[in-house]
Amino acid sequence: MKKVLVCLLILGFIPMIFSGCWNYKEVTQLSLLAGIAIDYTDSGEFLLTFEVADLHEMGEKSQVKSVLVEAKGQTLFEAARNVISKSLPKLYWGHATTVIISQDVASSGRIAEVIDFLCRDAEPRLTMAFIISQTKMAREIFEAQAPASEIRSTEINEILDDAGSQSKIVSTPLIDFIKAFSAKGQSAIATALNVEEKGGEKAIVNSGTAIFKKEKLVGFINPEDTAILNFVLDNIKGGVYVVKTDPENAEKKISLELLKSKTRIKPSYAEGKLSMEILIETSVALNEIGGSVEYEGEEAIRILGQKAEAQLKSQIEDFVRKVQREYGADIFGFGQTVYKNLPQVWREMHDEWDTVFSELEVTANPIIVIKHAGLLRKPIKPGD
Amino acid sequence: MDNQQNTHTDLNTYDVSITLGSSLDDNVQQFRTLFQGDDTFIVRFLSNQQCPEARFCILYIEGMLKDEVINESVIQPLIQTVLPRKTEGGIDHILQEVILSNQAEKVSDGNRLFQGILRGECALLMDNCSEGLVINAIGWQNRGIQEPVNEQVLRGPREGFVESIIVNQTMIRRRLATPKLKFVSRLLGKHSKTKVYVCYLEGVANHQILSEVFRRLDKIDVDGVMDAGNISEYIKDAPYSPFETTGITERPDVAAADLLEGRIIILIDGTPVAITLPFLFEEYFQTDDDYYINYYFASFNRLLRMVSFILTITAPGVYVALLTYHHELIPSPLLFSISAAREGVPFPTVVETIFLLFIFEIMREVGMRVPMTVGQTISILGALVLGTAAVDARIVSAPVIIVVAITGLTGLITPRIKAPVIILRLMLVLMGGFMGLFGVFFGIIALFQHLCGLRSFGVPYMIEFSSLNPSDIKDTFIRAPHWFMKKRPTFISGRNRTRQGNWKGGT
Amino acid sequence: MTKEVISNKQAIVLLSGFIIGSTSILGVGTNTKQDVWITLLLAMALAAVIYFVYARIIALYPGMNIYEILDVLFGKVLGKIISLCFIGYAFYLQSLILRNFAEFIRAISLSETPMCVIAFCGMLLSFYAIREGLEVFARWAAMFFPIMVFFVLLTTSLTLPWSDLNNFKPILFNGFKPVFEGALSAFAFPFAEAVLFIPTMGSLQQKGNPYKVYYTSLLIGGTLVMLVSLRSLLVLGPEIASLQYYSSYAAVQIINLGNFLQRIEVSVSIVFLISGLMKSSMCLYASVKGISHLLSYKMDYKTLALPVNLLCGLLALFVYKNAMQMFEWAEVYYKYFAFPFQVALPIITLIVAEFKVRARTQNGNQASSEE
Repeated sequence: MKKVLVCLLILGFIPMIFSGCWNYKEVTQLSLLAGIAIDYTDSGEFLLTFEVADLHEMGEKSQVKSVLVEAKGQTLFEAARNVISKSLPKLYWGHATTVIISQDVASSGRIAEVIDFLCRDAEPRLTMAFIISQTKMAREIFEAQAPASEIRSTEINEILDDAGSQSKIVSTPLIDFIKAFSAKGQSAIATALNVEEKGGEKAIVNSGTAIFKKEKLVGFINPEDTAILNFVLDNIKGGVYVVKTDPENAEKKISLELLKSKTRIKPSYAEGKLSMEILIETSVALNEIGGSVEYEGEEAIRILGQKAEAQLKSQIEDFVRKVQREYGADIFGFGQTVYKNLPQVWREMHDEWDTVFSELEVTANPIIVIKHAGLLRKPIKPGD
Repeated sequence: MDNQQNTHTDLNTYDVSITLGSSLDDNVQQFRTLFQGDDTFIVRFLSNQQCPEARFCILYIEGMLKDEVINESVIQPLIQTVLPRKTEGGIDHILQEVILSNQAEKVSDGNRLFQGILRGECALLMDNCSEGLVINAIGWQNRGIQEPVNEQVLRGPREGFVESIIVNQTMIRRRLATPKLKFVSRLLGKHSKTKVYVCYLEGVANHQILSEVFRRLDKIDVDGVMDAGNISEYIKDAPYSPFETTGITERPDVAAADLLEGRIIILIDGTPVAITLPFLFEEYFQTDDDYYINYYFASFNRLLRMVSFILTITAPGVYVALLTYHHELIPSPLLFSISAAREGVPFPTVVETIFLLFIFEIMREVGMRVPMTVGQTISILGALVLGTAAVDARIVSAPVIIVVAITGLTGLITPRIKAPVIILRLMLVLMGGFMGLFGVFFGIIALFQHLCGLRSFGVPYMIEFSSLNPSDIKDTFIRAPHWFMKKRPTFISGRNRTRQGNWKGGT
Repeated sequence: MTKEVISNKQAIVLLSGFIIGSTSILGVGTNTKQDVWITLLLAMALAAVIYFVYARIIALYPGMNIYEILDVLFGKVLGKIISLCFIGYAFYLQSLILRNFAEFIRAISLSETPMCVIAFCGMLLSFYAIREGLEVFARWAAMFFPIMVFFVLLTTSLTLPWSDLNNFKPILFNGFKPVFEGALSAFAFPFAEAVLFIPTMGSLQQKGNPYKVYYTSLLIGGTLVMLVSLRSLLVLGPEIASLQYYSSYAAVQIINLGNFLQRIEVSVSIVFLISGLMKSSMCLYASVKGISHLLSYKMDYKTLALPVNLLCGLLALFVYKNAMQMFEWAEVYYKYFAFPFQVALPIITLIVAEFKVRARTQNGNQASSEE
């Protein structure tokens, strides 16, 4: 009896094991996707361009090359599956690092569709870089040269990783974009990239930030303004801030290395009027003196700091006003701040937040602390 | 005393019947018949110089006696001593006044004489006497005491057990000079009649475990016992589990230390391996010099062994799972290079991994069986042919070789756990190929459920690992300083737990 | 057969694991968004009340199984009917856990594997656990519980750089009502499910303290549930956390320390495998023990584990049509369904028990005074 049972059990297992391994996929049976660009075709279908790591050629060489594959479809999923017919193994999304969306798609208001597609499936990761291309077609980014690595998506991610030492770029992983996209009283932003031709070679360059309002792309801001935006969004992790010490003499500039920055947005509500105060505390180091700025001693440093503060203050206030006027998109998350800190006010205002936002009174109060001035006691001057 | 009697009853049950009569020739003839066809059986007749009618006969098996002892202490006195005219007092007189041996015994039972001869003693028969003497002059050649090859230490005693149970017994006794140390003997094997000592420290060893050991030993019914392995398979708790529930040691110092912890040692004649009971899982990871060297170093080594154990069973399974199910868990650059390395390899990863594991096991076994001089060839074969050529020919991919090498290396750190490791490894590879990492986890969970369910002589196998008392890790994951281990393990000894007085670290 | 005995600490470990159960992936109270911590605290406070009832029942009849207690309290017939309710609930809950288990694994990784295979594997493990007996399983749990806690703490601390404390604000924006409703849900799942731990408590050692077991476990289990839920909230923000089916899995996906320590979301699965196995095995124990009592089964209860488990697996396959139904049921209807088993029956049992015990001691006193 026992033997019969054991035999039956084994017989039961054999088909399970041999017909099993349902999800078994060898690495070589997969096309490792590095990045994806989303465009429209002329007929309004989605045109997806996949950058696929090409490992067949690799062999001994350590450089991984990539190939571009295109597919069309009415929906993103259909387009993604249409690739299979192109004699390519199944696309594997787990290692995709970049999503590039063309301006057309972004401004047509179908961005929610893209996000939904990326989040619903288990394979794509929420940490993918989410990028809006300023070129006409998003795929042009993939066609540019990549000097550091053969895979453009990796290259892009390296650019974004450098955001730490450069304040002029904003890095928006998919998760951050969704967070801002779905949050109350906040408009989403995304990294914007462009392609520039230099000496016959096309190179990927940072072109600032793409601004969304609700689900539509409404415009771009340049890298300089992006730095200011980063100040407001408390995104500063490093970078350089240039201060003009003399409005008349453009040569008189100093460079401050941003060491650490902390931003708080303080909403206040008085007599039916909402106002925002942006408090910034930044530690910097004096790194370069241009022209012949005089400084020596603690007092001079303090004055330099004040000049920097004044400049930053006006830059931020100008920038905020510009956004309020031109785009009307609350990319700073002022509404979010009100919602979190003054929920009662938000309850009253959230229906007409757009108008409230464009008329919001915003003041910036930066404090810049110069921590050290490098190795030099005073500027080097020519001797007599 | 009971045991002594047991020994005798065991002897009596052996189906030989010799009844000693008064005629020396008849008696000798009986022995001759029994040993018919065996040319190593020696019969030597003697008679006294002064009194030729006093005839004797010594019976023994060639080579098992110390010749000089027999010649000088038995034959010479028998021939030369002036015996009383009439052999009054008979054999008693001979025993008391003639034989110069400390181990001589008067026996009237022919079977006892027969058994004595078989075990290398010398039987002395006398004319007109229905009793005989058994003189112990055992003197075959023994291997000298050497350092055990399988349990080498950095520091610590260098002597190991030998094949003679008497020597082994003395080696333990020398280390524990206390009357509480008991050796209870048993004879195992219908034909081999192997002498076995169950050794314990009275008042420390747990009586329940002890009686369980005797119960199981007495149930053994085989024809011969050659090694500790024969016995431990019979007294094992979970006969079908690949995990051992009895330990072995070749070192008297380990045996003595185990006795002090309340464990029980079984010494077996004819093998330099002693069985230790009960055996718990953590003992796979304890080595002898853990207790002799610096405790930081010992603790580190012990952690290393445990990590290696986990690695050696999981590494191939996890590799297969990651590579065939969970591509997202491998960092991208690594995945790209693995993928490129696998390009053109015809076999699925599972097959490839199992194949290489199999090759590795073959090489291990070959390395053990082959004469030392050929060893070089094996490593060249392994390294060049398999390592390089197979990868170049795209039969296997390079990452698999790395994984198998890690697996093999980590497996060698804990050699005693070899058998379960090979099985588990294969199971986990199959599970990994079947359900990915989830399969591997299922396998590991089931493995530990099995381990938790095991018992060694009533003591739960994983009791130390599954203890919720943080201080119980002191001799498992790490080896705490000796002064921390004030108590004996409760689960083993039960009573008399205190090992030492209060002594704090430092001075 | 000797009676199985588990120690206080082992019971605490088992119950803590039981409480965490499938919450390690499902997340509790994510509906209440930023107020999830209030929801959970409230649910724990409610649980603290009902745990007193559970512990009191055990304390009144130490060393007795709940099914024996029910027989004593309600007589053979009514007691058996109530036992049957408990058994049914345990059986049903185990199949729910198996289903969660299978759905989760299919959603995140083995999408093409048939559900029955995954459920079968989970089933096999809890069958093995109960076949080896409660003591063995308690030892196993004592080994794996620290591993589970380690992974929860590790992943939580690794998500700290991505955590934003502003996600707590604003407090009680939508008023107290949704929070209270969420707390009721969180009370029903997972806290008050600990009613099914009562059968296990029948094996508590003589000097064990059921109050201590229940309240320590509530503290440990509750803290871990809280950590998991807060991790999702702080990392993903309230909107996305409530959007995701498996929010704690998504939260751990974010971890990336220096491009080296990343892609470790599999640790969430490990935690879930361990805690889920603890919970389903305890449910299995409750139902098997009950059935063997109900049928006056002469043999060891362990032999019932296989048939009951197989039936349970079957139920798991048919209990929901799809994942959406599973989540809707868990979030909306489950609390009403579970109320009689979790609250009503135990309270009735306790009231009857109090009267019986009082009457008994009074009788005893009278008897002694008459002497």
